[in-house]
Amino acid sequence: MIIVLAACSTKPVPIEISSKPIEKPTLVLPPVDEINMRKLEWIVINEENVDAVIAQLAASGKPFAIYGLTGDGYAALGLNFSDIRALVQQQQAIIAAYEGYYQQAEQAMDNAVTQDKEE
Amino acid sequence: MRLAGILLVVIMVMGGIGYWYYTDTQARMAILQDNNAKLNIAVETNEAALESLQADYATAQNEISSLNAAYTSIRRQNQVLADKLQEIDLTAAAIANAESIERAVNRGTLNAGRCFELLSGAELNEKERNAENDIAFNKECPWLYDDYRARGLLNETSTD
Repeated sequence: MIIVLAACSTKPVPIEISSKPIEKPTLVLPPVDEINMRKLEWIVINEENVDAVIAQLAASGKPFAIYGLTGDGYAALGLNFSDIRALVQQQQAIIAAYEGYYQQAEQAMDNAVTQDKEE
Repeated sequence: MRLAGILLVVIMVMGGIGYWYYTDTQARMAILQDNNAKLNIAVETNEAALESLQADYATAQNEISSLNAAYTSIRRQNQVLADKLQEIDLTAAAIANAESIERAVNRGTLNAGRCFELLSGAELNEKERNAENDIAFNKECPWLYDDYRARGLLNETSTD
């Protein structure tokens, strides 16, 4: 009765703590392919120079077939390209943010492990 | 005599119980001390984990702030062409001077294409390395000039 009241009926169980740092494999990704833009040439045609341009194309031996854009169409094309460029830049900024975050987190983890070992 | 024998047995039993109680208590105390030490370590580890999480949270907040700033900058850069096109009537310009506008759009297209090449990691050419300002660097993406300059990839003679 006395032993039970004194909470001595059972032996305390030893606590086992196990903490082992795991080395995360480094992710090494290849860089993106470099772009080499193809050369292209715009020909601006108005009422005045249309005959001269046709003659010039005929003289150079090229068949007369032109894909045309109006001034507004050209502006829209330029703005579309600008939007795509902004998208690329935003994606690059996101990748840089991830990179920065994980590098700093990795560094913090390494510091914590080093500190733990020193203690 | 019999009483003495009984007392001896009682004393021996009591002594045995006392010895058992002593050794058992010592063992319990040792385990409890050991547990206490382990719990202290566990608490310290938890505190370290908490600090690490707080640091990670602060890092994440910094990255989000930087990203938002970058987005603002990119949107402003993207607006530059739209603003420029608002000021120019391309149709009227083509009617007035087709040759001049042709040169301008071809140069602009070349520069815009070069911006993509640079964003993909292309090496700078001689003209870009020696550019004295952002406009001379590339009229379509002058903001890249500061970035390259900060990374020390431009020739030192370059100035603003």
